[in-house]
Amino acid sequence: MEEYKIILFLCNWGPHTAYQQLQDDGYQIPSEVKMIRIPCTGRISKALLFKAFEMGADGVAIVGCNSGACRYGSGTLKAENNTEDTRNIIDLLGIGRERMRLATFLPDESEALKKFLTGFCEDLKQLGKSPVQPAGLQPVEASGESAQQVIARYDVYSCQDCGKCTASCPLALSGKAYSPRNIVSDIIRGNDTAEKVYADVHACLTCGICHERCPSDVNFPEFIRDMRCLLNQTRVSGERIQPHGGFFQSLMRTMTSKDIRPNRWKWLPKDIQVDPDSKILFFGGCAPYFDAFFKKHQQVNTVDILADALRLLNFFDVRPRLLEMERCCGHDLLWSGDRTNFMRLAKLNVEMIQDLGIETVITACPECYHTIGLEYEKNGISPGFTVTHLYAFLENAIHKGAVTFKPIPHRITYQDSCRMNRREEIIDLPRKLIQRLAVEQFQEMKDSGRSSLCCGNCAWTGCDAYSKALQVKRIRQAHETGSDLLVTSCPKCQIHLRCAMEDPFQETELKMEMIDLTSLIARTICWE
Amino acid sequence: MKRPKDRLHKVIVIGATPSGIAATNKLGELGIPVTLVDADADLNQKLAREEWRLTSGITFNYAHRPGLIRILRNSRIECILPARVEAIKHNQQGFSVTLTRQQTFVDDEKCILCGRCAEVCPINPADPSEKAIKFNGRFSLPGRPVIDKRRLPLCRENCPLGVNAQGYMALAKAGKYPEALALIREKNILPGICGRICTHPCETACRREQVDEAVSIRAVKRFLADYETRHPENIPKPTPGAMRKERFAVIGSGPAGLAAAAQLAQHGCQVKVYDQEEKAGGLLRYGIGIHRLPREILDAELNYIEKMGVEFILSHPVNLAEDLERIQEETDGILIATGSWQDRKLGVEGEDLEGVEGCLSFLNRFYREEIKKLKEKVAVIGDGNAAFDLARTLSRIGADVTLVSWFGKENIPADAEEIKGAMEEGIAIIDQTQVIGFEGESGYFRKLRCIRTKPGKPDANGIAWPIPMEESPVFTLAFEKAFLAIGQTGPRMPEGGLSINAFGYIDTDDHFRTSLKKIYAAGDAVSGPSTVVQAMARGRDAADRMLLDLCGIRSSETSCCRPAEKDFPEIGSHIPVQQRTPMPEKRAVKRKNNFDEVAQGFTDVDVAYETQRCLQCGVCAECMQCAEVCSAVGAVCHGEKEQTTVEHAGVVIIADPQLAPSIRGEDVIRAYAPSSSRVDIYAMIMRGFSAAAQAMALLGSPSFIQKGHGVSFLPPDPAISEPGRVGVFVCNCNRSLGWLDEMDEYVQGLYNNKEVVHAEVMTSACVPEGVSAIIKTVRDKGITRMVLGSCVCCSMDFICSACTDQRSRLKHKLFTATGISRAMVVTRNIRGEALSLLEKDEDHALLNFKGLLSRSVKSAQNLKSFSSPVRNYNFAAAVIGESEAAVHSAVMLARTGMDIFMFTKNVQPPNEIMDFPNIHCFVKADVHCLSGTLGDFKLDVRTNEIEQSLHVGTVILGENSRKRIGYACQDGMPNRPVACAMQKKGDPGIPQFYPGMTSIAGLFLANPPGILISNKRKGEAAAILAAAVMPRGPRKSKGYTVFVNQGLCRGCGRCAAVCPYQAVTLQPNAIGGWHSKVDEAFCKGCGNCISVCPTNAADSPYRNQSFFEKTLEEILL
Repeated sequence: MEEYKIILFLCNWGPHTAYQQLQDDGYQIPSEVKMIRIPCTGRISKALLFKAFEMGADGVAIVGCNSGACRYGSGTLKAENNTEDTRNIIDLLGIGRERMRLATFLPDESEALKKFLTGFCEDLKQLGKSPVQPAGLQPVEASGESAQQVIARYDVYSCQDCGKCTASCPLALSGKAYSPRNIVSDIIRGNDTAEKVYADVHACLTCGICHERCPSDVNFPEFIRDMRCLLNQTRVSGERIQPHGGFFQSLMRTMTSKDIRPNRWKWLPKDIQVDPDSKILFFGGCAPYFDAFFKKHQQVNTVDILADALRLLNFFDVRPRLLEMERCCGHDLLWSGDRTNFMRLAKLNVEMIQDLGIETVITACPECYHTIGLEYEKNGISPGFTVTHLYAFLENAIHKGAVTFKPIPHRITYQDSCRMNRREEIIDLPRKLIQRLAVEQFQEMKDSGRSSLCCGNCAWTGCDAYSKALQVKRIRQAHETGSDLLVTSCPKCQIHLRCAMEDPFQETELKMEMIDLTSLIARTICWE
Repeated sequence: MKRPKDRLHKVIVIGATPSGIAATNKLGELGIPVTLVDADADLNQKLAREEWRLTSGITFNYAHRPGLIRILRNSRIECILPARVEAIKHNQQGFSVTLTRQQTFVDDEKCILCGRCAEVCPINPADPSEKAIKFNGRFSLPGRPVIDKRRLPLCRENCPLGVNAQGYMALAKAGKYPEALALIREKNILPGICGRICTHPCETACRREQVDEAVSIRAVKRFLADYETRHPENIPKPTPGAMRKERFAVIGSGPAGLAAAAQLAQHGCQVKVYDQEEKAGGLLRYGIGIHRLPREILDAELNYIEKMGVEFILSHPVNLAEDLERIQEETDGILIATGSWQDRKLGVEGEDLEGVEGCLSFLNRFYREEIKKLKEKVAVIGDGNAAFDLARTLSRIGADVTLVSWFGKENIPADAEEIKGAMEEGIAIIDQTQVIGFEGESGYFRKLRCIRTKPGKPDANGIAWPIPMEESPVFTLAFEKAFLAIGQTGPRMPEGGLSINAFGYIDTDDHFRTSLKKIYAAGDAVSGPSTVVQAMARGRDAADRMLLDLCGIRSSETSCCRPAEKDFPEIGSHIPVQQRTPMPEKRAVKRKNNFDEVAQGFTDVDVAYETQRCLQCGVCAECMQCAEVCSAVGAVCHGEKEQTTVEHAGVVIIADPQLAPSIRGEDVIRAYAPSSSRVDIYAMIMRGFSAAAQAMALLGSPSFIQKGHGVSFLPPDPAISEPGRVGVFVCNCNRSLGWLDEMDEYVQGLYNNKEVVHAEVMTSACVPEGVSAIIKTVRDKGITRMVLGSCVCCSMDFICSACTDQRSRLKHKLFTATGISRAMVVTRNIRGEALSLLEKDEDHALLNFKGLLSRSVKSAQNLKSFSSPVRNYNFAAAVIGESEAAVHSAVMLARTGMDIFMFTKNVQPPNEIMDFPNIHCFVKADVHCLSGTLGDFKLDVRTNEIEQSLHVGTVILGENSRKRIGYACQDGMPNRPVACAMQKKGDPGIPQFYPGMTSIAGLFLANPPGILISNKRKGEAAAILAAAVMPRGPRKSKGYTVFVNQGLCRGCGRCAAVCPYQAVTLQPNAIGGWHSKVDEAFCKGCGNCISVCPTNAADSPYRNQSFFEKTLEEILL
């Protein structure tokens, strides 16, 4: 039988003392338990807790000091929150919340610690091995490409060094010493392994505004994407470049495990009707995970978007099917440079959808729409079904008439999603929908439409002080419109902008209500 | 009027109570030399008392562990534990304190607390308080066990040879028979013989008698000696000592001669033993019954001595008158141990008749086989063991024996078992009969003439020597032969040049020296007849004297020390009555006609039972098992002596009145509560702080108080060079938990990593020799990264409650003033994580061992240097408030010479404040805002319509001021009153700190509520906290403090919100936002900020994010 592996994050203070007492007393710590000593349970982020599961741990225990006995005061409380969030996340993933535990001990409670350790080991053996097959155990598929080939693919040589890209780059405009054209010339010169180039390649927002402005039509975002994939084949990716301790990349890689049975629809409200025989599938996206991760800090509630999307489908008498074991579409893995695992996710999703005999996939997430609709095909996976954005479905349905909207007592402005905004056929869709709403006022921001500013991050990569500056700028633009409600079309725009509003000095000044367009429609639509 | 004392700059703290510890810690922080004295040996155990548990639920010993370890590591603090305070006296420089440092027999500098001594100690009763080695586990402070020794056990004291009876009883009980036998042989070279025929004065002295009966020590000895016969393979062969050139002759191979010869041979001398008889053994062979001492036993013992290097020259009579000179020419010294072979006579009529013979004379003839049978009716006159021995021997060759005893039957001095044995074998005893003459016919003996006796008046020893019964008729008893067995007299040899004393024995001085140079004498030839064991003792002692006189060596007498005044444990009523095991004997019918050994010896079961009856009077038996397992480390020192010293100090703080003799005087600082008051741990701590403050004030305005402004800088931590050149040091902790060859192989195999330039396994890293070896290797081999596999789990300074004396000692020595940076070391608790598994699961242990080391070698490459920040400090203090406590704080601080700003809101401060030139008092001043931290507080003050900002380094807040004045760590952040609550079970959010402190470094409370001591004491406590918090020189890089990457920081403020110590501030960045900055001086390394940071901007150089990620990867993949 394969050996069980249990990670024990052990606080220096109370429990470590108790643990050492056990060692001194000659008590055999179960061999499954791998102890990692930490200064305080509050030190261990959700990313680290989850990382253990990504690496295939069968159980994770974080063990600290009793409430009221934490050396630093709040560590135990912090750990309680982190543990709860992590348990929710592994529950969504179908790994089983019981695999994650928090316990607390005083220094003289070695007997209790012993009981806890043996008890946890026994319970885990009842649960069985973790279904996660660590992606890190599988080989990275090297493309065999060179930087030169990537340059050639996007005809980067045609760059005229005119500088329009830098002049339009939101990062450069927020004060960062950052220039797409310099990155290009650095790579052309063969400096692609330099630390600075690596950092710059990963800092790009891939918002595409430079491509928009480029007279030579250099597709900088896709060039960056492929460069990331290339660079990450040969080096350890992510160190300090992936915010939140690389949690999201970790989460997505974990989803490549074939044996996990995700549970991502378990939160679904009762009023929503789905049809297991439908040929239409609603693809939800990772919102439930985002909520589990961010709820404590930012009160993010992006599953509402999914619920509202489904309500809208029901409203128009569509009862879609849901993909029980839906995985992430892979957008963020691809765009953070991990094509290998992106491909794994893509194949898993497509196989599952095809097995169900689905003809149409509807999604409300711009990234899922972009990825399943375009990238799968480009990467050699033919979906065999059509992908429609919810807005297109709505516009079509509403256009037929007989619906109306309740008044919305807000002045609104709209934050474009980069992934939708750069696609010809849907650029005006959200605006058409907004025009139908009964709002007090709709005012575009200073930079909107094709010039729209990114929400500050893409693919959970390269967030920093400049991202914040850019976001603050964007929020200020929203306030300048005189609006009191910011309408978004991507759950991540909400997350990132909300993050920027967290500021000790100007929190009240930046604060602005946000709602997704889908929710705004769902909550006001009614039959005439 | 008395001249004021000119006080020494030193403090003695008596009593390691929480008060004493608090005072010691604070004085230590101020750099004042302290001597801490307590009667307990282990601070950790002492402070674990339930009544001292903090409100958080943590016992004081764990909560304050970093402080306790700081005390041990502070070179200015001396801990004298355990010790007794004999006297305290006032003198002109303060006090003189007479202390007795009690013996622990373990050197705390050397002890690695591996626990092997406690493991091998045979004195291991279930009740830990009765164990000889008190081993409180690895948390002990100081980290060493204590050996409990009492005065010399009576068995050992009464043994002429000083054989460690308690020791071998304990070893035998533990089944360590070879060790037990070796322990006997250290003092007694004839264990098989003494195990049979010794008069066992040890048993006579045995305290078990007070419970039931003496322990059968001799029988156990015999069992052990016989064990060698049964299991020769388990007993090491005797080896002569290192050869020396000296040659000695011993004349006589009786007990004294043998003991001496063996002792000389043991020390490497060449020894020849001369004896006139054909076989060696002297009286042992020619005087003792075979049924008591089988000759194969004697031969085996002689054989053993021979193997030690002693040469026997037999059938070689030495004429003391003529031969000495010749032998002297060939040797460096001679010992005469010819014994006393003349039978003593009664001195009555007819003693010369044919048929009357002395005991020895007869036995001599018998053992030379001149007589084989004696089928006659014989009398044996005498009642000692020899008489019975003779009687039983005679009976075995066919005689009809009657023993005529002077004493009454119940008082016969021979051993009870002898009497019983003789009677069983059909020997008649006529008691209370004194022989007053021998009657004969034709010169041949026919009758004994006798009278009756009765017991006389008991003498000083309680022996009622018989006296003739008045009026007793003279009566006769008819026998064919009579044997006198009433002892021996006089030497056998003619004297020659030797001086002979009046009794006919050889004359010697107190050191066995005869009148002839280099000729010594010992044994019965000097002292007259004695017992085997006495003769052996004298023989051995004489040999020791010869070794000293003639070779200049002090014999290896154990240099053990025992506290003479420490009495044996009381014999409690809990000891059950257990009868002594009788010696099994051959049945009389089966033995009486042959010379088979009568006593059959104990079985394993008998020995187990009998040895557990031993009361282990001396507690530690000095069996030396502990010293042997510790030999590589050398921490066990049985020779440690009790030391009484007189310590001088300017100030004495009494923290535990029980430990100090009473002393009057206002300048004696008392840090304890009246005995009637309720125990309040926080009050105790504050009392300690207050005592330290009073001490500081008594010592006068000291140089360590800084004034004005200054910087405390961090001398650059030795920067660590480029990765590469890894040295691996693995400590096997004296193999106390075991060790595998594969571990050695694995460590050697590490050389296959190209970056590993050194890999070694050491016996112990934490002893001085271990540390210096590491430092030397690091220097010699240019090691830039180090992997230390020992019990040390982190390279940091006292950051958790699991640190031990050994760990901190090793770290302290390795990183203090050696130029070796903590930053370049990866430490792994190999002991706990791998070696502790060896006992039950070797594979698992080996797996962990390899895993930990291979990960360490890898992570060594990722180590980064520590930062070296500089901080500004303002050395002025502010006291805000007008309460009694606040006033006392200000006065106390002013007495140290600090510059003080005092703020009172309503009232005029008392005059005593006004008298201090270094207090500036702001009257009717409204401090309305307080911000900043240690070294740089900002106070916004309104006085008389003037608004001003004042800067100070430290602040003491009165309770009303605390409630009223809002505090913000940084200007512009929302302010709120400072929290003052102490940690409480179940109530999260409050970090641990001591009463009077707050979570804000440098901000103290003059009268924290809820603590039951006077406001004066509280105020003084706050003052010492403020005085001690100021830096007095360069600081040390903590190594674990958080660093924030400015480029990555989004200025969200989560870190500042989560930091319990206000270590994080937000600084403006170049693009209109801010980045957070962690002040190295306040960060305590909890890392809560790291886990909330959304962009990984915050990280610690020690065990950083990538360390955790890599560790997980390597453990799991």
